[in-house]
Amino acid sequence: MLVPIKALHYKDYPYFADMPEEIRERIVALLPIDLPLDLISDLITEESYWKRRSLSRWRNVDIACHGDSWKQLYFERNLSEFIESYELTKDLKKDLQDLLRLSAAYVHNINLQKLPSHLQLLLINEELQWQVHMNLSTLKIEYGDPNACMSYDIKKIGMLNSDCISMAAFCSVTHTLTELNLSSNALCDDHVLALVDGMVQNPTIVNLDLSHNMISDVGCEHLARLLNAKNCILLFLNLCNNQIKKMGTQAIGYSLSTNKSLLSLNLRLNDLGDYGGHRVFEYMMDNQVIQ
Amino acid sequence: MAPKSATKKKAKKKPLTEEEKKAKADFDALKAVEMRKKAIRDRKSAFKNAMIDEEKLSVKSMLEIHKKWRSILRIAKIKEQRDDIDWLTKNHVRQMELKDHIIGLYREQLYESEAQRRSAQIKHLSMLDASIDIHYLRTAKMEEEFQEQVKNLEDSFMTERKLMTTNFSNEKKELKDVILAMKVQAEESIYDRRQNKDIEEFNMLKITLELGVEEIERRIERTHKSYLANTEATTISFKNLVAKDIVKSHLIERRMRTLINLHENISYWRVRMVIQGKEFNKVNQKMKDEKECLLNHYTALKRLLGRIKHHERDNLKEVSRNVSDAKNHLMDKLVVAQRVLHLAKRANKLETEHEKIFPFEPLHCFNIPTVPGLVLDRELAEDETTKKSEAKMLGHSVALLVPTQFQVEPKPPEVINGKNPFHWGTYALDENGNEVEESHYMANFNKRFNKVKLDLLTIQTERNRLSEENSKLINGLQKYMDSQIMPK
Repeated sequence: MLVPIKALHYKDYPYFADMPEEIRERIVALLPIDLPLDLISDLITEESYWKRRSLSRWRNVDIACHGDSWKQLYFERNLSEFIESYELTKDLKKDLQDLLRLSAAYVHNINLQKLPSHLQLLLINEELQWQVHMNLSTLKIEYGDPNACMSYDIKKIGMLNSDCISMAAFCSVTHTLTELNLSSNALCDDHVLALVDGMVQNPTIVNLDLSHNMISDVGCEHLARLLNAKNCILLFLNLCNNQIKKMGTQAIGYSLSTNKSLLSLNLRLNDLGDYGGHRVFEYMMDNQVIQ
Repeated sequence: MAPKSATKKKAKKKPLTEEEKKAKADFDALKAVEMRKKAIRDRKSAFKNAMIDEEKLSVKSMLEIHKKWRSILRIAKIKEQRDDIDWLTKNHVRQMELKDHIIGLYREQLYESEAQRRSAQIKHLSMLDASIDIHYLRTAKMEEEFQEQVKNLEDSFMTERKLMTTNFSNEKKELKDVILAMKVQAEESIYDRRQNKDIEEFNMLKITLELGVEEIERRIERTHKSYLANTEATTISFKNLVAKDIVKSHLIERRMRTLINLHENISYWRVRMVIQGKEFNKVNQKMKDEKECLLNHYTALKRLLGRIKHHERDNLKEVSRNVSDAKNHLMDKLVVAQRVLHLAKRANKLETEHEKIFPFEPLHCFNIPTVPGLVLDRELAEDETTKKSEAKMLGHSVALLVPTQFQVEPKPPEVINGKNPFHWGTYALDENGNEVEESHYMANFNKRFNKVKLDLLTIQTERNRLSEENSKLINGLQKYMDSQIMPK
């Protein structure tokens, strides 16, 4: 009898105390889906509520990409959408900070398809680190313009130098990030230089995806520097669909002879040529680790 | 000394005669002419040469002129072409700049489109990679499921195999036991077999006989069945033929009836043909008679027409003759009129002043003094007879005003048989010859005019009526002719 009343006035009395599980589940099933996140983020752990809330907001969702958790899915997508729609001109910084603090415990992956504000990633890192346990392990940022259609504008696409610098700074300070995906960002050799400078100091990233960019031989030499670093723990490196030619291949291949960590190297859709391929395989014979 | 001798010779010369002088003069003249001709010839040749030289000079000068003109034109053309070249170069430079600018724009657009294409390609490749990963996962999952199913099948197969082998071994044991038992039984049955052999032979013969009987019975039955079947077939065919016969007889009856009808129709139409043939022959005969009548009428009309033509030709001749006579008469009258005019002129000259003022007053004649010694009565009578004869010739009564200036008192006109033989002015006579008063002239004229007009109107109405009747008759005849032609 009290279940519906409790559900109706949950905002005012959010605590369950020692309620039995059945009643608690019944109350949660009746809760509205527009309750403020700051109130319920820690209190409600039932997946059914978060499933209901997620499905009402997004049609096409798959919890397999979000750790099989509806709550994680909701927080991650919510945060991604907020960051994508964030505008520097409007005074939303406080909202962003609050959201980041709320979501820090539940967000493990951030997947951004556009970042028009070119937000400083250190800010995100600061707020996420506010929590004792920062859980961000996967970061995928694409500085693009999805669904542009006829309003395609080349200036909106691609990473800027400032973004690379902030990314490098972020990489150098983060302790939880394991996977970094910067594909389809029009990265050139200068960007790669900035990134490598930051990543050399990073102790956690094992999966680096720089596919579908414009990295050429000079960028490959910088990457080779990263691979040659003593504390390099990179396991997976994806460089497909770049502009790597034989000299870049040679540089990377040479680094393979000294690198002991790399398990997978993807050089698909590059202009390696026979010479580049020959050199890579030559050096690979010396490497016992790569698979 | 020579000139002196020449002069002496000259002095000794005889004086020339006339002929010699003349001959000498002729000779001199001829010489002069020859000299002149020679001079002319020389001048002509000189002119010709001058002309030839002039022509040559003119040709040369013309060539020079042309040459100079060409050089001037060339210079002007070169200048014009230089200007054109300058303009073209400027235009070309401008166009090149424009095109370079356009090329630059196109290059930028190309770069943008290339970037767009690349980004689209990247997206496509990432989608492809994602779909490949999904498919890979799917295939891995399917492979797992497949392996599970294979494992399940293997397990089930192995269990079934075990079952089957145990069953087989059990059945084998049972069969071996059965065989042993059967062997024992077989030994016991040998003795019984001999006994049974005789019985069997007896039974065999019985069976063969029975079989033979059965066979014969079967043969009989078969033939009986075949006979029955044949009879059945023949009865069925007989029935079919009977039915066909009935149907065909009906058909034949119907056709006979139609044939009879056709014969009746044929006879009817033959009779009709004969009757109508006779009728048409009559009609044709009538038409032929009509045609002959019309032909006769036509020939009569043609003859009449010929006669009318002759008559009219004669009339025309007479009319032309009358016309010529009338013309002659008119010419005579003209002569007379001219004479009258001439006399009138003369009379005008001899007019008195009173006559000039009152030209048509007959009363003044009473005051005219007579000339003594002049016998006018005779002259007047003579004049009157001549005038009367002339009036008769002309056909109308016209009398001249004859002045009675030579009579003291004018005599009143004598009435002869109620007619005035003498008139001062023009007068008219009616049909009976009686004089008509002047006041009745117009009335009489109107009467005659109206009469003629009425006659004309009646003639026109009569003509219209006759033409309508004629058209009606023609239409009736046409219809009759059409009605006669249509039945054919």
